[in-house]
Amino acid sequence: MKFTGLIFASLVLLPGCDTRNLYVAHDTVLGINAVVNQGRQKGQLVVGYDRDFATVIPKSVDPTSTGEKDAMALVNCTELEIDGIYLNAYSDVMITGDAAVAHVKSGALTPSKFDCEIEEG
Amino acid sequence: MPSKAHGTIAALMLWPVLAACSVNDFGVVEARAFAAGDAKVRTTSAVGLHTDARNDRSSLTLGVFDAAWIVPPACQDTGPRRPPLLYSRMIGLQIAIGRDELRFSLGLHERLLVQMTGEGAGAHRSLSFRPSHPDQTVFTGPDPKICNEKENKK
Repeated sequence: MKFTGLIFASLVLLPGCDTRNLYVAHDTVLGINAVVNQGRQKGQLVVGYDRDFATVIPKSVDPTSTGEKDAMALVNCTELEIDGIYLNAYSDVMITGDAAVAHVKSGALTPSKFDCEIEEG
Repeated sequence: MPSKAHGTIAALMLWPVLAACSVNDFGVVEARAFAAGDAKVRTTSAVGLHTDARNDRSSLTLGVFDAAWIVPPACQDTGPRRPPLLYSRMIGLQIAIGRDELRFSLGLHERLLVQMTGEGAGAHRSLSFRPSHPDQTVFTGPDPKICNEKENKK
């Protein structure tokens, strides 16, 4: 079983000020899982099976070269491979900030040219 | 006599647990490190009663505990506070306390958390990770500067 999430979320403008980091998270539960936040205001109880896969893009990052403060510019390709209930493999290619803007302006942002290839290094 | 027999049975039942205790990389635990470019991948595998207090999270696990995380080049000595990639899998019973949450798990709980900073001019990063083959991890990218603060003060 293979899930492939291809996200081209570039130049997204979102108001607000939140986390500065981009997060990609995968969470699988089989059995009982109870979570409560530190403020004890939010909680979740899972009995049985649950799988989540999410990407959180920061709403506000450092000012760009023009002085503007926008959401993170991001070109991202993420691939999650599942084997049964277990995670088998994860891979991603990410370009952020001005580098992502330059990548978009260069005309390279097409699915055929941005295909999650991992650059060995 | 019955109480003595009960004590013996209880001791026999608890022996596998008590014999397999570990804290982070100490005790009955398999800790390994692999190179992934300039970065490193560290893994911890433990069976029995395992206590782990790293990567901004503390947990007590009774069962099977596996974890892997990437240590950026700048954090080779101090360890990362929040690594670019953090993977954990628990089968059994676990109580975990993180910076944001308190968690109780019974059964299987598998988690992967990947993060990248969105600072300045931006950067290009490639990451490939297989839990079953952490030695094949590929990681190229910027240094996220998220090393352990307490260690950095030394």
